[in-house]
Amino acid sequence: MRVSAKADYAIRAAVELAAAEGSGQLRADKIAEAQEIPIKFLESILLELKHAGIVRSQRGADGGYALARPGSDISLADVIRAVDGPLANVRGDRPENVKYKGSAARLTDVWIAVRANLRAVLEATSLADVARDDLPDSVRALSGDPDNWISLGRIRGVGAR
Amino acid sequence: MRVSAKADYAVRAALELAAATDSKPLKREQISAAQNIPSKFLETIMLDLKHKGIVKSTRGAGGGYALARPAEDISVADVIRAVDGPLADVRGERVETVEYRGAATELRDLWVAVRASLRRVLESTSLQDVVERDLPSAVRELTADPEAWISLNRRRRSPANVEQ
Repeated sequence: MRVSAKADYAIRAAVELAAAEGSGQLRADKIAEAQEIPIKFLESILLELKHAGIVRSQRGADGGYALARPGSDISLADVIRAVDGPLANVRGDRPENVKYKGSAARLTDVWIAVRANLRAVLEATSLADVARDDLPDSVRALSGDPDNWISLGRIRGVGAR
Repeated sequence: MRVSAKADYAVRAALELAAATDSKPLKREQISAAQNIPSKFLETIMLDLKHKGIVKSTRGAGGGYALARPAEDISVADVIRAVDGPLADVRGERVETVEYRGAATELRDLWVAVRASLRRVLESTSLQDVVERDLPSAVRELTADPEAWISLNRRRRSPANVEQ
């Protein structure tokens, strides 16, 4: 399960705009500098966010980018979908469209459950929540558990059970 | 959030082995035919699974692949990690090591929560559960909700739905 560089940058750019809400437009180079995002990459990301109705842009000396709707109404899932397409996919297909046979028949259900849990975090969290350091309680409960900060890759991955 | 072809194939190959635990080892061709997995790709995948202690192989006429441990002791997460590395990563980094600054500082906590929610499904589901079509109740509760089966992409992206 990989969060792409594009999705990560898109969220960070959108969070910068959420933090600047009410104080005019932000120029792309300001966003790039604040979040250390390569400017060329950022420009193409902002264009996609604009097409998806998440940001709007204004030309001119005071021009730049702003959120097209309040940051409290835009979820992280909205931003990820705008730049990366469906929140979860399996080999490029939506989970509900992947068909399995024989002993793997129930695997569709596993991926559906994965997506439901992803949504529970990413739909519940708005750009404003992140910018205000005020994540929803359900998300806080997950990130607050010290066990969730430990990488299990090494312990579990080597047949140690 | 993408499940790679490699991870998908690896889980399906492991499930075939889980379904065959009482019988002889399975040949690569049998696994490949049962799950429509390209045979060459499967070879690479089986090698990864072997190195990570998920499967074992035996040579000879009656040889082939079998699970190295009981199917109830291998989670779907174990198989994904064996072929794809960490369950969740951000730009190739583990979620707990990604650094954010300024307005984005909270994002690391967010990705930790995302990974925890992935683990809840993928660690709790064993190969045996999938083969026996007996998924953990926590997973079934998630799939029982009809909304979970609907793609939200189009609905949520259209600005018309934002004005409530």
